[in-house]
Amino acid sequence: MDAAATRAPVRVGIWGLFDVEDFGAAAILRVLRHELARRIPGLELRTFSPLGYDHATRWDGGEPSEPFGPWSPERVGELAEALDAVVVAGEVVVDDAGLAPAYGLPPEDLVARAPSRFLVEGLGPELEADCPVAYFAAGLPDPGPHAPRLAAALSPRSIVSVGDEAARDRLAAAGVAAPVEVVPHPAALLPAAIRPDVLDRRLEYLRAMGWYPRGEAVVVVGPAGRVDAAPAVAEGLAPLLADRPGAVVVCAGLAPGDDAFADALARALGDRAHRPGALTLEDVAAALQGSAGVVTSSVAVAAAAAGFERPAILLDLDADPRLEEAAHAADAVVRSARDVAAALEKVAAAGSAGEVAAGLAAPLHAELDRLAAMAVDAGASRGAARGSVAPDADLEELRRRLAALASAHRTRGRLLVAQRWRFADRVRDSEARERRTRDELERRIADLEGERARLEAEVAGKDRELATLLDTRTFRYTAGLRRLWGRLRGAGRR
Amino acid sequence: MTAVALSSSPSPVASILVVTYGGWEWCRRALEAVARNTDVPHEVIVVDNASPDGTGERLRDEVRGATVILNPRNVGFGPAVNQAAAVARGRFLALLNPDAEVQPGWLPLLVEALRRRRDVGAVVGRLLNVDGSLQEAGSLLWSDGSTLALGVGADPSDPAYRFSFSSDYGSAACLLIRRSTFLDEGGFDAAYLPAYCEDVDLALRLRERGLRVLYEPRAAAVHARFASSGEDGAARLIERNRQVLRSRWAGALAGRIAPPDEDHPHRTVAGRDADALDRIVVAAPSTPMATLLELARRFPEDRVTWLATGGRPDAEAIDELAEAGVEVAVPERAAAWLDERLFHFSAVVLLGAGAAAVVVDELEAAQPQAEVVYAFDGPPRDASLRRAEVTALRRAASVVCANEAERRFASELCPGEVRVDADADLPSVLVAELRRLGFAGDLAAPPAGTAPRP
Repeated sequence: MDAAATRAPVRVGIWGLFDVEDFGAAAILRVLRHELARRIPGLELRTFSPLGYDHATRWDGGEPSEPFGPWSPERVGELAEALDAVVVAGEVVVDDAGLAPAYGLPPEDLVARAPSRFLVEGLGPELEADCPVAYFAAGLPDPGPHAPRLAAALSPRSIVSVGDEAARDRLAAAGVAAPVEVVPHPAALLPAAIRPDVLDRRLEYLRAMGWYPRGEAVVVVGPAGRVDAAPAVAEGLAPLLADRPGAVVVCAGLAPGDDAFADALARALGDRAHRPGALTLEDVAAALQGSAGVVTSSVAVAAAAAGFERPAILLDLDADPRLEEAAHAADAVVRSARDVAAALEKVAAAGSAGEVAAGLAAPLHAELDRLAAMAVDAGASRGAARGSVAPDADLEELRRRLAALASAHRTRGRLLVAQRWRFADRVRDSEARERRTRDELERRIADLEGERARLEAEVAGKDRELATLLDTRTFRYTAGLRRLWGRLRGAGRR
Repeated sequence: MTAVALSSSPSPVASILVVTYGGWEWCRRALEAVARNTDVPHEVIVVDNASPDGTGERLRDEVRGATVILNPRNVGFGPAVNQAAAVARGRFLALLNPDAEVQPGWLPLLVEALRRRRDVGAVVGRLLNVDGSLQEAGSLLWSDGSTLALGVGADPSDPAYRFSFSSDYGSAACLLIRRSTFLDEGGFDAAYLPAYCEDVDLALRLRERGLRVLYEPRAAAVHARFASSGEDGAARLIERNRQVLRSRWAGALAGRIAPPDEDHPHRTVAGRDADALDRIVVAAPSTPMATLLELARRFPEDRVTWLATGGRPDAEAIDELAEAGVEVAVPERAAAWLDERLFHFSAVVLLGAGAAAVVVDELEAAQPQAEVVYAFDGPPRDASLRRAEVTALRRAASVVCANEAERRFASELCPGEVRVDADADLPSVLVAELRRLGFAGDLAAPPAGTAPRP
């Protein structure tokens, strides 16, 4: 790869179902944003979903995707023109009508939009020669009659990764010739994508809301739609709660189906349960990081918990083959509610959380490296084609120096003005001191003037008294006596 | 009672978040104002913190089109906002107090300000008292953690409060922030329970990430302050939470300006302009519109102020300049105005002898550090103007002349550069002269690619 060429903007599209209420999809997107941004200098990232910002959800983190728009060759051409590479991530649908409930739209609307044509066929082999499309941690259902579509679309692609072995097998059975990697759920990398101070802040928020204990917490998420299993799960947790008298179960609902179960579990556990309201991605991450253990039927939640090095077990009450296959995301799979406490204690005691997290992270990072390399190469060649070749090294160096000078200028400017204001403070201080000294002196002068006036008045009074005394008849008549007394005193001294 | 009918867009641009604790009548008026004056696709989310006066029930029964969350207890303002933000779907969060009545056009102005500036993390509007006077035109934070709302009690048409600038923080009474930014920062910190100072804390966190809070004066709300907590209760809470703020942000606060007092009134303007790279004042009797707009454009990180020495300009001119971020000052006494801004300005541009006559005597005492640029504006009409011009020329670092006669005259007096630009336009010449004197302006703007994501 040409080093200079890496400076050209790299325009990557991330496609997926990021506009539905799904913690897993939100986690994948958050991880991809973070991991690609730190791998690709000059990354320009755009995300696309079936309805995008027309179906914004609370899980989109305030950055809703753009809508695919109805599928058409023109629309595909536009996207191929606007992007250098595409990463299709998370759940992939092959049946458009099946998406209708998630969007609250009539099936025919989804069929008319045909989002699966974006997610499966991508840009088509011709356009993908210039703008490669990769699958990352794709969740693939049984394609049924759509198998030929998958085979045709995926076979020419160089990077295809799926979330479990079964999906790989299904692709092979469908006739996909491309090499297919299996990677854990990317939610395992969430810890790196959210700042630690944010996690701390959100945990304090959850506690302030009364949704999370100050002491030990066990987080339970799902299984969706199994309200009937809540009493059994509560019973299964009882031994653990008996052993840990301070522990509280946090019954979290991350999707509409989860909520009913969480409510039922919280009711069954009584005062040993906390039932949070609506949570953000950051809240879920904070709750998992702060917990002593996690019980979940969500592969994404289990992977995130493992990423935070927390003991996690997958609760598979319905013998769901996909959970079985995704077992590497959690330390253990439990099929009976009564085994929950023992399984959680066992994985907690094993103390292998760090190894599990590292084991999940390694293949994900390897796959992300491949995606980044693909995008950078595509960006470089397409950047050259559209005439936006990166500047040469000298120009880059000049730009770097200019940026450094600008930064120095700003710093220096701010320093100077701060000094000026400090000097202004001193000037004002000395003015104030001078003013106060002047005021004090004036006050003292005024006091002294007053004292002098008082003394002068007193002297004048005494003078008047003296004059009055001198003017009395007694004083005049006794003049001879005073003279005589004076002589006598003088003779006595001699 | 008629229900309050709010609009609820399926794809909202903004989510308007309101937290209530009592004060139903104020809240009702606030929601009606939202319904009446909000012309951006939006949703309204109201969290009631277990109001003791039945506000929660009234919200549930008498408000249509809003998401209403009734908390069983008062969890505090910050957590309740976080709670509302967790269910929000808009790209922007508009935080609104339940005793704040938004004025027409408020939201598009705030949204536009956030969309236009990538270095802006939040935007705050102008708050008015119920009597129509100004309550808050941006807010400043001092080194001791205390704060100052600018413009308290002032005439809202005063041009001093009508231009946009970087505020130290924005009161959560009426503030717009990107939802992604709010969530990325972890929302409001629960350390400030039950209320007050969480908005200052958030602004400091944004600042750490290189994001500023912008004051947008054209967006306004009438705010009946302390309608739910009472002024005494609020003062106690503010003081308590200020202690938390001081302990958490001791380092950041230490670098800030000390609060103004009787001896140091200049600190108010210093605090307001602390984020500006340079401070340029243009003194001119009539509106030098082109010059001011060009200076604002070429020196986007500087404070550009027009000292109107010929009396108050018309409202249209003030509005146009305010929109470009130019401060218009119309002081009764220019000398006192300059003295209140001791050592404040980096450059003083004097457009003609009339302007020089008003300020030149005070320059040496109050702004000795400023580079002075003098531009001739025709021959002075009388001897006093001529004297002022001579003083200005002796002080100037740069003189812009329109003809050779002016150049000869200036060259005898001016220690700095004297140039004739008879044909060039004055705004460009002034920009060039300021650049020559070391004012980098947009040349020192951060290189592309370093701005945070929108």
